[in-house]
Amino acid sequence: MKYYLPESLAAYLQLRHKLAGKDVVLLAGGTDLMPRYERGTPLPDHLVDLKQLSQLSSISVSDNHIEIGALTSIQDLHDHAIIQDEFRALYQAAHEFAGTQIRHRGTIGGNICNASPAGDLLPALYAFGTTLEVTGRAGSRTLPLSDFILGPGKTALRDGELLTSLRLPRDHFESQFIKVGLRRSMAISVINLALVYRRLKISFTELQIAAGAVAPTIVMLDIFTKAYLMDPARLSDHIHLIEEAISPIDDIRATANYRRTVLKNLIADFLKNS
Amino acid sequence: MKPPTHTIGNRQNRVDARGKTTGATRFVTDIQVDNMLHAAPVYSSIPHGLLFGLDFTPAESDPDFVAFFSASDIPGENQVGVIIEDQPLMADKIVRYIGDSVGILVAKTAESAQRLAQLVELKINVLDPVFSINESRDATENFLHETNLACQHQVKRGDLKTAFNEADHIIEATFETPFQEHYYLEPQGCIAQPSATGGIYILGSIQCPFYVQKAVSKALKLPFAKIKVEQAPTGGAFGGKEDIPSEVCTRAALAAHRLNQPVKMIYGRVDDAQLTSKRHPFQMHYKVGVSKAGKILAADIKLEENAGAYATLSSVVSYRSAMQAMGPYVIPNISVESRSYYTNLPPTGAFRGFGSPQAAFGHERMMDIIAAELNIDPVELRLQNVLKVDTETQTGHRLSASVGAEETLRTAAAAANWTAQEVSENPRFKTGYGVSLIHYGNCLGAAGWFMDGSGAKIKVHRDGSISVAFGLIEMGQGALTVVNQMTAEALGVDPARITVLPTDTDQVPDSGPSVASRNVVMTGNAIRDAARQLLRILKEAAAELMQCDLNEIKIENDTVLNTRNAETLPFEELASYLYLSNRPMDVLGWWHVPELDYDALKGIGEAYFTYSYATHIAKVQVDTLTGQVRIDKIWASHDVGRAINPAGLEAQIEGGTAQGIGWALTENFKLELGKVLTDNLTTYLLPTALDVGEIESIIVEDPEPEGPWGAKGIGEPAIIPTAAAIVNAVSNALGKAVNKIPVIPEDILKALNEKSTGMNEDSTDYAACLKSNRKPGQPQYNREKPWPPPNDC
Ligand SMILES: Cc1cc2nc3c(=O)[nH]c(=O)nc-3n(C[C@H](O)[C@H](O)[C@H](O)COP(=O)(O)OP(=O)(O)OC[C@H]3O[C@@H](n4cnc5c(N)ncnc54)[C@H](O)[C@@H]3O)c2cc1C
Repeated sequence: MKYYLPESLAAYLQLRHKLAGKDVVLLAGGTDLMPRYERGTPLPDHLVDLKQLSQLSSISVSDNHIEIGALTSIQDLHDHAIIQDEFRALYQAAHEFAGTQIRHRGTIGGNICNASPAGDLLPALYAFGTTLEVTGRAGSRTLPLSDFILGPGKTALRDGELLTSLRLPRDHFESQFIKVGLRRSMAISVINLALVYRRLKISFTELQIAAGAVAPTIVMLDIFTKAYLMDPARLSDHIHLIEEAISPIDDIRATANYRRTVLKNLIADFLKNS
Repeated sequence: MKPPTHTIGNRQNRVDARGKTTGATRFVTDIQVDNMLHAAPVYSSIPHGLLFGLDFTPAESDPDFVAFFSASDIPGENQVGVIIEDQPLMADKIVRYIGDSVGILVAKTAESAQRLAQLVELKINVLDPVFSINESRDATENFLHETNLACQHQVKRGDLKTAFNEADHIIEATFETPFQEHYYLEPQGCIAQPSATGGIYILGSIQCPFYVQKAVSKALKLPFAKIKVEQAPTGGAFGGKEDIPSEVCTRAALAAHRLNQPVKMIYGRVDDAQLTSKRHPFQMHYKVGVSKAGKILAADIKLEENAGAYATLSSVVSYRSAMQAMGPYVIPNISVESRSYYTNLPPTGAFRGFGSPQAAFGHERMMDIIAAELNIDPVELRLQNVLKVDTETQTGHRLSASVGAEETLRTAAAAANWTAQEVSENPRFKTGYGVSLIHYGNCLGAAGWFMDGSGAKIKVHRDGSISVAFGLIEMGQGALTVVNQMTAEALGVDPARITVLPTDTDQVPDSGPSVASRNVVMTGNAIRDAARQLLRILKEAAAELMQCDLNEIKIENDTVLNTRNAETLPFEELASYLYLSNRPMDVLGWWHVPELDYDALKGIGEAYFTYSYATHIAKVQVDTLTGQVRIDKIWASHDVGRAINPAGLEAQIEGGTAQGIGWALTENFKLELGKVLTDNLTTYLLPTALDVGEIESIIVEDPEPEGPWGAKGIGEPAIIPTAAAIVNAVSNALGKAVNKIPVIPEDILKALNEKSTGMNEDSTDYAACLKSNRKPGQPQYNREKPWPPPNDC
């Protein structure tokens, strides 16, 4: 395996030009990659370490958007005042993420590109309507997060491309992240979800729910939320729509049935009691 | 007479804290030796089969390959069974579990050794495996060993039949407890090297250097005198390094001996999980007769244990669980049968408590089930039956002193405000309280009495510094600190003078294993014996120097005092005079457990010389939406006789309680067809600080006359009551009996949705892990394609 440490985006693009079509893996915090290699996944022929691309690790705020560099650590995300105020669910996801060491090392770009069905930042990012900027030799393109993640471990990245940044609209929604793991910290989510909403007094006027670990990719529960917003009094009649939108599996952590039940329980409880 | 108290009872910082927190402490893995080679185990990936060949030629051509050794290379006996001789050092005819070692591969680097070990081809005729206790017990042929019963112990006392006839209620229940992984942070490892005596020198992460010495001697046909085994700083053990290092070190020693070169072998985490021993899963049936008023009249108990492929320490587990099966209560009529069965799973062996946490889960769940049936408060029921001075244990051992059971119960109940329990205000959560009371026989007991002696050697140097060697070991539990304290106390000197040496077999006679919560009791008494002898020498010399009578000399507060004229002498000067007057400067102290009156056939008599007692009360919240159990708080009250180092004691209580929480809730050990699925920290979930909640330690001191300064053991009592207390609390919260651990969210949700009486009613048949793990309709074991497993993470 050959290791590279490009010092700028330009150097990165040049390098990828040289390595076109080759077996290349990008390394950000390494918190997903290293355990995998330790576990026996064969090393790639070329490993490109992104840690010197410091222009990709900042958060910038404009009137309408917040732009987060792909190499922003989970900790920096967590500590950012605007994230804490306006993107509460994202802040909460960062708060419940792993432990101190991993939060300092792991990046938001890594969480997205790893494309795990259980990635903790993903539900909030989906529910806030995140778009991504992806850069390659041909320049940059933007696409919605939901078009970027194609399946477990699969993304729309093309040869040579990297994720450079994310953009979230500053819509001033209220929001809530909920995580269920098999212990209270350092746990892979058995269920995670983000609820993004606006309320008038006690009734919801807008509502987006994104659920993780219940399908190959994050699921937006749009059919359910639409039905619910139209007729909130009949919540129990709509609940089955959640089940119909998801396709959970049995794995070493939990059964599909458990995931189904708990997701319904948590959403119903939130809508009734918050 | 109360001895002068200088250091005993003080909160003492650990003497090894600095090195371990700064990283200066060097563990085996950190240590490099010139010309050192590296070894990795080669083992079976088939749970049961006839081994008819080994082919290491695929590895041989690699430039890093050095050697491969298997059974035929062993000059002595191919036998490493610690109590029952059923375990080859390297399997040569039959492999009995996934992980059964057939050889070791030696290479130039650790990475190459790991890699090349996987290239060795094992030629195996696959046999049908047996995984469950029931299959093993009921088998009529194709036994794993001569029979499938690894060992058994029993207690038969009183007249069960009459007592059951007289009972107002007869209550029965079945319980199951799972495997548990030790998960010491430092995996198994050692360095073996040829020594100057023509023998072997081993430095290893080990709990009993003397076991290793014996095992190496047997396999290599070397005299004990030529085998030196030294304990390296050890990163946790919990019983997992009692006997396993005998295999690990002896295999490395074989390679070092044959190659005449140092060989290091460190297990990777995944190998460690698959190869090494774990806690025995138990299935238990209790039938208890009680009077209307709540007096226990009779108990008929059957305990069955999954021993895995080899007996290792199963007989200690079946002995202890039998002796303690019904807990610290007066039970005049009792029958206990405790049996361990071989299966094709990793061997189960020593683990903090030796079957006690399992038996405690049985008797303490039973007490709560009885309390519910009789509508008596659980604490009240326990108080009615609890052991006191001048009562007899279930084995008929009349207790004459140091029975703090009742006080632990009362203090814990008072601290938890048991009679005014809080109720959750949020309907989402159900609050539950649970209590659990246990006793724990200190040291090895009647079955191990012949080896229950330990030593300590104290040496005064001419500059006044003092070194102590002891035969037991530090494995993270705080032994070095209390050995330091007890030596200072016994001699009347400043603890700062004292250096406690790493344990090695050349220093002190065979002192047995550091298990059974015996270190403080054994080493403390040995220190007192050594100090008695040494003080005589010191006082003789001082009397000579200060020209007075020996009886007039006192050594206290680090000074030598002539009580006739109040003249004093610095300790250094006395040490120097000791040397100049040609006196011996070191002495060996020894202590053995008093002889025990015990009938092994009936299991009646003094099973142990004394007992530690403990009560845990757990307060939990059950989340009705997710089925998760959150521990709010655990009150842990322990009768330890005397707290030598209260700070260390509390750390033991907290650590044990946390490990008990893990066993009860998060550490959901999973196997599939003999393969450990939860073989790393991603899937085997140890509780984190958040999961543990608050622990309030309460120390009860009911002194044991035979204990050093009154002390008894704490290492194991700390974990024993925890799981039962938690599950009693969960049952209390749900209003339903939960009789199986781990308690996982899925099962709680199911219980919440069922209208029936209890969870796990249908699960009497088999060890929790396998059952919960085999999905409905999943194919049975396939002879043609036994493995590999699906890759989850
Ligand atoms: C102990 C532990 C606990 C954890 N806990 C959690 C948790 O609670 N919740 C959770 O969601 N995850 C958790 N994780 C997983 C992991 O930490 C996160 O997914 C993290 O966000 C990954 O970021 P990284 O920078 O370390 O990714 P890396 O491991 O460096 O990369 C992950 C993948 O993304 C690709 N990649 C990274 N950056 C880019 C980029 N800019 N452009 C294109 N491709 C890129 C890499 O090539 C690789 O395929 C945990 C991991 C560990 C080891």
